Amino acid sequence: MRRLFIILLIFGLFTGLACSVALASEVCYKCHDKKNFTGKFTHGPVSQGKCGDCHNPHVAKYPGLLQGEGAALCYSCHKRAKTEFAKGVVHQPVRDGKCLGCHAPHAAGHDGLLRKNLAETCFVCHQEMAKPQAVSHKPFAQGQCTVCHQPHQAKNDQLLKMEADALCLSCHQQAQGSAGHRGFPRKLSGCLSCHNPHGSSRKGLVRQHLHQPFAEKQCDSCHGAQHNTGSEACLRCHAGMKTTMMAPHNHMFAGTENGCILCHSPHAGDDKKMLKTSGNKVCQPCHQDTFSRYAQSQHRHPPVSSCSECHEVHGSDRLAMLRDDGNQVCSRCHLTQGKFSHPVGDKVIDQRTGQMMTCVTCHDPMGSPHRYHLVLSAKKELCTQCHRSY
Amino acid sequence: MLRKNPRCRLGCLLFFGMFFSASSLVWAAEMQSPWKFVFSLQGQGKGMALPVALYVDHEKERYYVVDSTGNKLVSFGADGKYLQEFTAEGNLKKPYDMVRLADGSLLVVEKGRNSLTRVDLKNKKTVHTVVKHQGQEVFVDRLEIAGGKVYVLDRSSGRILQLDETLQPAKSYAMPAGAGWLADFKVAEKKVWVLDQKKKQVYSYDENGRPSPAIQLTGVDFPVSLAVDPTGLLYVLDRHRGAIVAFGRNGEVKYQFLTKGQGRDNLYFPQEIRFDHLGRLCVVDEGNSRVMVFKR
Repeated sequence: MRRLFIILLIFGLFTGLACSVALASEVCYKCHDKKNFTGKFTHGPVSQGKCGDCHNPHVAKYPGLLQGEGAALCYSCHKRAKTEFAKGVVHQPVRDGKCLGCHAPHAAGHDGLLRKNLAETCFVCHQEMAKPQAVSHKPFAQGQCTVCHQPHQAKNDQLLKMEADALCLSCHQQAQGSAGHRGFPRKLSGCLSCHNPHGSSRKGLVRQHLHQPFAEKQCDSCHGAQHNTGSEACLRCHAGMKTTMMAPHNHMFAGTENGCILCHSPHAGDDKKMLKTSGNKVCQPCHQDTFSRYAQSQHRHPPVSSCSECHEVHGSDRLAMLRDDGNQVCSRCHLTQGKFSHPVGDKVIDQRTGQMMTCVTCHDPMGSPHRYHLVLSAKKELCTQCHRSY
Repeated sequence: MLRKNPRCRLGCLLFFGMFFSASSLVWAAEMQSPWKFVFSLQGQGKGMALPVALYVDHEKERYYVVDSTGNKLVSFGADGKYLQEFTAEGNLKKPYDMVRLADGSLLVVEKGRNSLTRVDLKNKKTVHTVVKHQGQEVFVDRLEIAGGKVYVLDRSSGRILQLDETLQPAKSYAMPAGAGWLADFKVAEKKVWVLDQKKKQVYSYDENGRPSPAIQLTGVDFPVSLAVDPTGLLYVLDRHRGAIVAFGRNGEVKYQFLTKGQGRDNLYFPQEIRFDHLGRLCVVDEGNSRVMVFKR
């Protein structure tokens, strides 16, 4: 008798739950227009009327009455994604848990629940990519970013599907014997050293600015057994750079390759410095943690065109490789600061360190949870670090 | 049986209780740092500007702190008491690391000259040496001495070089293909331990240059230095997070301690960690112009 009762109870609960799920969406749609939840592609729980999978109808900790926050909610179903998306090079929105940056949660007109078509979705952040070019790479012109890039994570820099050369040669098999590569001493490699994979004003997608020896076809001036390898190959001519790198903090990289070409392209570049990528992006692959902190911080310095606005990128005697001391580097733009605010400069000593007070003693331009990107809360512990009697 | 026998039920409850308590203790032991602050090394007068390296003289039981921006070496006694400063009469140019050689002279990495500078203290003589390896100038960086042998990190080629008495390379430790760039190395347990900052890996090589499998580090943002604990742990200094992370030899995180900032339990752009002659862990806290010493 007791067993029968238990079976009936379980059955009743199951049936009730199923009914409540079926009814849930209908109840929700009494207020929320169903049209907004339908599209060419619909999220599984929405199409099954399981609003309650993501939302709590009564009360929730998170905006939108969501059961969880950001990616954590998505990963409660997409469990494999959570593991996969943590591996290798991770796309910034994924790392920041902002799935909804690209995907619509309910329904969308595009596969993968993308908010816009693929290229438009990418261009929301990668705005500079949207500029038209005289010569465009075919997949790029067709908006097929995922021909080369993985959207979430990849083993390779720039979220490339394969190592860059292998990726290029997977389509351009004929490039090895082409006229432009005649005399190339070995299997083609370093494609991106000369070619812009998206577009260029030059034929063959060759980048805009050419390294002089390359333009003059004097390959021997850098290559060949008689020449130095590693960074020395560059520093023989760019001796001034060597001097700037003779500093306690420098970007003379001890790696198995020439460290200079981590940032610079040795053959052709998109700007005069022949950086591999534009603006701050050249720093991002190595300083991912700083970029993430900046992106996630509530208070931070407004974006600048290049990290080198504040940092000496080759070598510096100062902390964080700043171009100048923590006052001078800020007062180039903040002209009046330091004249009427808290005293700073070499006559004002930070009691904790014995060093002079500077702007960065109290401010962290790369991001902070506190107003004015202060390192600590001005209402609590910032001032009392030094002014203990207050 | 549980339903029928109250004693058995009680026994089970007791067993589970003990099991969970023991598990909690194990967990707490793994997660808590055993390190307690002992003292700081700080200079006199204007103190140290930006200390970047520490050398521990095990024989004399002294600490030498390399102050790069102050262009000086600052020595401290075993109790952390300031002893003296050395500037080679104002001739040090951006010193970055140092060791004491068997003959009592100091060997200093001078970044400003890209030289290994031998300082003969008795005769007040200074000799600068630009090291070359396979015809190329070595970009001298971190320096170690172990078993009477001097090792230097070449930032240009990405190799650890073992030097002979004339400070010329006698042996080279090449990193595996595809390695990133090297931030630090230590010689311990008759092995050379190398920290790859880009790949966040630790490589180790025996005396014959044979490599062991790389140890992958997780949970660190910007590793700059490592220390090898004879008890089996690896300590990695995270410059950006101002933290020290303890790893097992398989790369599993055991615990971490300290955070970014300018207080007592903080590090601000720290640059190096190493053990002293008493097995205490020393952290060169560059941004706070001090060296912090911790004991277990």
